[in-house]
Order: sequence, then C-alpha cells, then structure tokens
Amino acid sequence: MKNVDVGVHYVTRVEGHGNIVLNVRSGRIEKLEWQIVEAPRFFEAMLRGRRHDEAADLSCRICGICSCGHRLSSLQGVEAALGIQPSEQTVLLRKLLLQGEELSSHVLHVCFLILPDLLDVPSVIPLASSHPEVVKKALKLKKLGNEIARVVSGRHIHALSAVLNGFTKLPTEQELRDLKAFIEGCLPDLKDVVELVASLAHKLPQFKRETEYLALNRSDEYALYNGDIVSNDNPHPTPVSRYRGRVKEHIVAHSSAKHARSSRQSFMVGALARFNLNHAQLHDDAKQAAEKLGLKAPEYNPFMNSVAQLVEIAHCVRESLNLIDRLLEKGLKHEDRSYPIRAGLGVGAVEVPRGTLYHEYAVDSKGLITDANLVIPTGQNHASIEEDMYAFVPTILDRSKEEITHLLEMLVRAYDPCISCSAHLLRVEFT
Amino acid sequence: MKRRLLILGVGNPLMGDDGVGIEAVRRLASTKLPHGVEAIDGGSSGAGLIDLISESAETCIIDAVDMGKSAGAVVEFKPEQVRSLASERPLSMHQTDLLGVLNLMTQLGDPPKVAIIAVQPENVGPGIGLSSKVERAIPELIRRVRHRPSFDGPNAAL
Repeated sequence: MKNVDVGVHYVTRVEGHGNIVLNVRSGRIEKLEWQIVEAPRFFEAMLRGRRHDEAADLSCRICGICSCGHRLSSLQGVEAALGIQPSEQTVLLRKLLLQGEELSSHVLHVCFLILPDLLDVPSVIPLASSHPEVVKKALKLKKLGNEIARVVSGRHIHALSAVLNGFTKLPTEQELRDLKAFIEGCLPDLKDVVELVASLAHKLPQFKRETEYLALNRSDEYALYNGDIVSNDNPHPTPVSRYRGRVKEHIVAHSSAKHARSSRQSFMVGALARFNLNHAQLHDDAKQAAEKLGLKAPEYNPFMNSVAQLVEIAHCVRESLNLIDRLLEKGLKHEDRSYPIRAGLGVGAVEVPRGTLYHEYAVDSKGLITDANLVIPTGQNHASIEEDMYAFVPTILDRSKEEITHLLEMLVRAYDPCISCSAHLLRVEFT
Repeated sequence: MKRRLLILGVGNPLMGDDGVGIEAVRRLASTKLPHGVEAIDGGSSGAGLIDLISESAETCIIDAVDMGKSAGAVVEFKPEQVRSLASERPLSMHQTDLLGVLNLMTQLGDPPKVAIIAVQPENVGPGIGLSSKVERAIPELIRRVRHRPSFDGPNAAL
C-alpha cells in the first residue's frame, strides 16, 4: 500500500500561496489541499471610502492579466448602482476590449503553460529553442490581443479610456480598419496553433468528474461581456443582481480561503464551463476548431479547459472582426458621459478568461463607495480544484512521486488560477 | 524601432512598495522627455511587456526587487547578472517571471538590450502608498535614468 508526500511549495512573497499539499498513508489520502490566499478581501477594503469613479482605476490594478476584466466588471457594478445605462457604442467598444483580453490571456496560457506540458518540457523557454515558430506565432496572437486593447483603450495595459458611461477617447476609423487587417493577418497563425494542439490533445490526462458548471448566458451571443447566470444543474437564468442566490461563499474549517458552492458542493467556471453551457452560440470558426480538437459538450475532463480556451480564441478573433464591422458601420461619435449621482447598490459581472467575475458596490448619496464585494473566478474554482484532486489522486497512486506531483500541477494549471497579488515581486540572487 | 529608450515602470501600486516603479515612471512621464524616449507604466502584466520591449532599441526597467538588501537600496543590473528565485515550472501565468520573459526573447534570437534599476522594498503587503525609505529612493532612480547615454540621444551636446 502506498505512502506518498507531495508538497509543491512555490517561492512567493507570502507563505501559503499556490501550494499543493498531499499526504497519502497506506493508499489513503490523509491530507489534500490546494492552498491559495483569499486575495479579494484586501482590495475590497481599499475600495471602501473611495469615490465611485475611482473604483475602475483601482480595480484594474488588482491583476495584470485580468486587468481589463476587472475594469469592465467594476464599471458595470458602479453603473448598476447609479442607474447608468451605457450607449450601444460604449458596449460595442467594451466588448471589443474584452475580446482582446480573452485572446491575450488564453494564448499565453495555452502556449506558454500548457504546450510545454504537452511537449514534455519544463517551461516555454526550451520551447523557444525546440519550437521557435510556435512560440513566435503565439507571441503574434498575443500581440493581437494587446493591439486591440491599445487601439480601443489608449494603452495596452490597464485600459485608460474606458470610464463610467463611455470612453474618454475614441479610436479612429482608420485605426479600426488597420486593426481589422492585423486580425485577418493572424488567422493562419491561429489555424497552425489549433492544429498543433489538436495533434497533442491526446496527451492530456484522461480524467472525468461530472460536476456543475456556471457561466453567464445569452441566447443571442456567446456571453462574455454580460448575461444571466445559468448552470447545467439549474438552467433557469438568474440576473446578476441576484448572484448571491447562485454563488454561495462559505468558510471551510481547513482552509483560509472561502469555498463556493451552488447546487452541489463545488462548481467550475471558466472556458470549459462556458463551452459546456453556451457552445451553441459560438461562431462557426470556433465550432470547427472544437471539432478538430475533439471537444464536445458536455465535457467533464477539467484538463480540457485549455482546449476550450483555444476554441474561445477562435471565437474571439471572429467576434472582434464582427464588432469592428459594426462600429465602422455605425460610425464613432463623441457622446455625453454625464450622469446624476445617487445612492444605490449594483452588481457587475463579466466572463474574464478564468470565469465569471463579480463586482458588487454600495454607493452613498455623495457618490462614495461604502461597501464592495469582489468574487473572483479562482475563488469560485477553489473547491472544484480540491474535489478534482480527491477524485484524481486515487487513479494515479500507482505512479512515481514525481509523476503524481507533475500531474497535480497540470491539474492546477488546467484551471489557469489567479495567484494575483503574490506573484509579481521579483526575487533574485547575484551570480 | 518605435523608440530609442523605453523607461518601463513595473509593479502593482495596490501592493505597497511594489508600486515604486509605477510612481517613478509617473514622475518621469510628467516631465518633458527627449524625443525618442518614453516612460511607460507597464503595470504587473509580465509577458504582456514583450511587445513594448521588442519595439525599443533600449529598455530600462524600474521595479521593486527582493535582493536581500536593506530597504531603499538601489542596484542597477543586467538580467544576465542575476538568477531568479522563481520556479521554472509555474502553476499560473500570474507567476510568469519578468526575467523569464526576457530570457524567452533572447532564446527566440532577439536579445533585448535591458537594464534593470531595482529598489529593495520594505513592505509589499496590500495597501496603497510607498514606505518612506523606498519613496526617498525615487530621485536616485530618476537620476540614473536621466544619466544614461541613450537618454539624451546621439546628437546631444557633449
């Protein structure tokens, strides 16, 4: 009978971030934890007492990768509290901004983190020597994501011009046309990356656990910027203002971070959840990519989350082209962004790369934030990751400790978790 | 090349001294910079910086770095002079190491000309605002940027 101890401890600024702990005695799991700090609480405290129009600028700094998503969810939450309805032009521009972020993030995740696992190398650095063309294509696709952000928001990191009820600066029609040409130029690179991953997808661990998947949903499009909350267990749409009825956070004795449940003990959000629930609304390119990649709904293998991300890349590229066409058709106009300030409570929700992101605000009559509640996708996935590990470990106990460790790391990577506030600080020693 | 010199501040201003690079660049960007020089807030986006760096002839990154020195200490180094203590096999894109990103560019055959002007932080816990030791280091950071040969350009008066 097997005894195994796995402690994946990553060097980070604060103890307890991004750690996998597994202790097995005589073939029985004694301890299994995915430890990640409860980051949102700090940021909620920082938002309290601030002006309602500072929320987006602060929120977009929470995370360098999901920056735009935080900004958009924050804008929606404050607008909901104040009763502001942004114009169609504003919504189209924001949707385009969001496609850019999904693209950038998914490309980085699939090509820099998952491809190395599939090609049996420790990181993307050796890939640069062994498969330079793939890495270059990945960087070109990622650049596309950044270009969209730069054209729409004036800066490719921490979007500047997207503000309450509009944009402080609009892209020109020529910039949008140039962007469209750049996107079209990337289509062959996308096709190559899909084909490469399709040829390697069989190397993903074969593991299935049927669970509940949650995502925003719309009948008329693949929901990313907005929608109602649905799941496979409960397909009746819930407006995001009532998210607490669907996303129930609770304290768990063994963990410092809260767990979230919905209809079952855990649920999954992110690309796989969105694919399972909303695949009918994907563009044809994306549906074809799914077929090529062997992804079919319902898919219960969490490792296929990365494959779903690749399908979403195909969708977002097409959606970006469509959005640019709509904007060029309408023509861009400067709009009045003014709004009255009033007390209120509002919830914003956006599908960011990792899943549904909620920003809830209470604003007083002077326009100051009195309370904020941020529910990030990784927090929602925390319990799902642990349940997956509990189900997965018994099936791989016959492997070596190194293999078990690697497979558990792959499982965590599949979820593309946000370990935001700990990860940035560079630690070096002089050689 | 889009620019002769990129001064790139990186970090997270919501995490105490980790925002020092952002503040240094904010101050620089509010002054008149020579033609061909840009001071840009790179936030905390890691691999998102590759494009900015590859479009610049030279890059000077300003960042809080844990070097095991006393708070506020300023050290300038090139990436090849240090070893990162981050994991080679990250769990998440959020752990993508800045040095790893620069290494990647070199492996792809396009080694960027990069110097890092680093400040040892005191406190990088959640919170807005720099500790006084780190804040006092900012004029030194700016001085080092302004004294780079590439700052004033090839035709600057000798």
